[in-house]
Amino acid sequence: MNVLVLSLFILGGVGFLCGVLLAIASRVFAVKIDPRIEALGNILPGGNCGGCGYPSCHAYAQNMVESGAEPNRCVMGADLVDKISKILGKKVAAAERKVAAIKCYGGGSAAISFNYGGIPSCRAASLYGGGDRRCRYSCLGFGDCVDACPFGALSRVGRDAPVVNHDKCTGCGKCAAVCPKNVIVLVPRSARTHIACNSREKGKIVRQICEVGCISCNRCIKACPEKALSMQDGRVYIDYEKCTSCGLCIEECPRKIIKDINPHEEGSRAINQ
Amino acid sequence: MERLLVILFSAILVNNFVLARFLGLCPFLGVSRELKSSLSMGAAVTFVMTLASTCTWFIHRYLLMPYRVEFLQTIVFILVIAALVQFVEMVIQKVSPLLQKALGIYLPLITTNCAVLGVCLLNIKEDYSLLETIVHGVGGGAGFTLAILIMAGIRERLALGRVPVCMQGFPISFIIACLMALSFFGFQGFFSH
Repeated sequence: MNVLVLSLFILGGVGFLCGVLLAIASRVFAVKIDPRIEALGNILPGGNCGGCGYPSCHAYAQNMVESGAEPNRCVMGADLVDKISKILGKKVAAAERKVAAIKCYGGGSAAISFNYGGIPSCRAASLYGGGDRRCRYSCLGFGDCVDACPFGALSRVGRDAPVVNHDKCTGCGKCAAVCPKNVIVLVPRSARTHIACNSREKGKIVRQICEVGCISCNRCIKACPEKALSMQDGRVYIDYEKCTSCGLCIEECPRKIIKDINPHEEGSRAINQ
Repeated sequence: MERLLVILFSAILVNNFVLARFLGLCPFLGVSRELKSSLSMGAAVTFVMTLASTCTWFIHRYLLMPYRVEFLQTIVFILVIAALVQFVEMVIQKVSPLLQKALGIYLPLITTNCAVLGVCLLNIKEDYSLLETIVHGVGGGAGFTLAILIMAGIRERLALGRVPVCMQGFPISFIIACLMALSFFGFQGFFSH
């Protein structure tokens, strides 16, 4: 009986002492944290994608409060920037939200130059003679970008170019950074026209090695009433500032490479007609 | 001196906490995906093991032994270690944000780690002096760090390897852990004290 009581006292005493010690310590060693940091941390997406230039959402929240980082750096767009500005008490215009777009139909369509049997990774494959596709600008299709995406917005389609889920994509650019062929670009979320070819080769060569490669026929450039398309470094480039999404280039392209990439906005003039 | 060295190296190699005693397996498999995080985990475990060994040694010697309630050691040690880690975390948060960043989330994770409790109970079982206890704690932590670093190195390589689908992830990790334990078994009988 004595031992029972004694052990009760000792255990209870140790527990009580620990509790008191911790209670005192939490007062003495309390670190003051700006409540705004926590509030910001709660509304930021928490994907830690790094699109804002800070290593994590928490670090970005900290920097916004403590060292005045601009509230519009988060790639999640206008709604969020409004909420952030409310918490911080500053008014800042939202930056245009972007979305990843892949400038290639992918590995399946370009002719193969050899059978690659190495590590199934685009970065590894591109080190080995630039990859197994005859087109050296082609997406290799192993999906390094899929693994890099912190939001699960990309999905593999065999060895073809991965598909971007516009609802999940935040436009952080991690996929673009990891792609060894630089085949992924960030386009404005409202953009509708996108050229799914990355090649800089001359039309004749493209015809031989790829069914869906751009042959530089310039028909889209001539068709554009706004002069939004131009040839730059052997590739057709769309200036989204000028593009009105009329869809004439999409109709004009003989190889059907210019795609309507926006699944959301409907009823925009020529595209649906 | 010789005895201290024997305790140190036997805790690191011969009686490695993870690979020979099979303690602390959850962080060993859970945090060994990257070298960097496993190094932080190893550092945190070493830190806590040393601190906890010392602390529990005093408690055992000056509280449990005089009252002859040694049978309470397990439960008292759990309590003390948990409180100690919480306390240390608060102090670090206040005193050194840099250290807080390095050990970060790993400190609270190991409050109830069995390797930490194991080292404390073994100290008592082996009847170590205070100095030996501290050395045993450091050695145990170093052994854990060694094991988790090797594991993380292998798993980083493995991420590029072609593992059959049914073996990907944890199954292959368990096989690696098993092979590592077998190889550490080769150290058995190196030191006898």
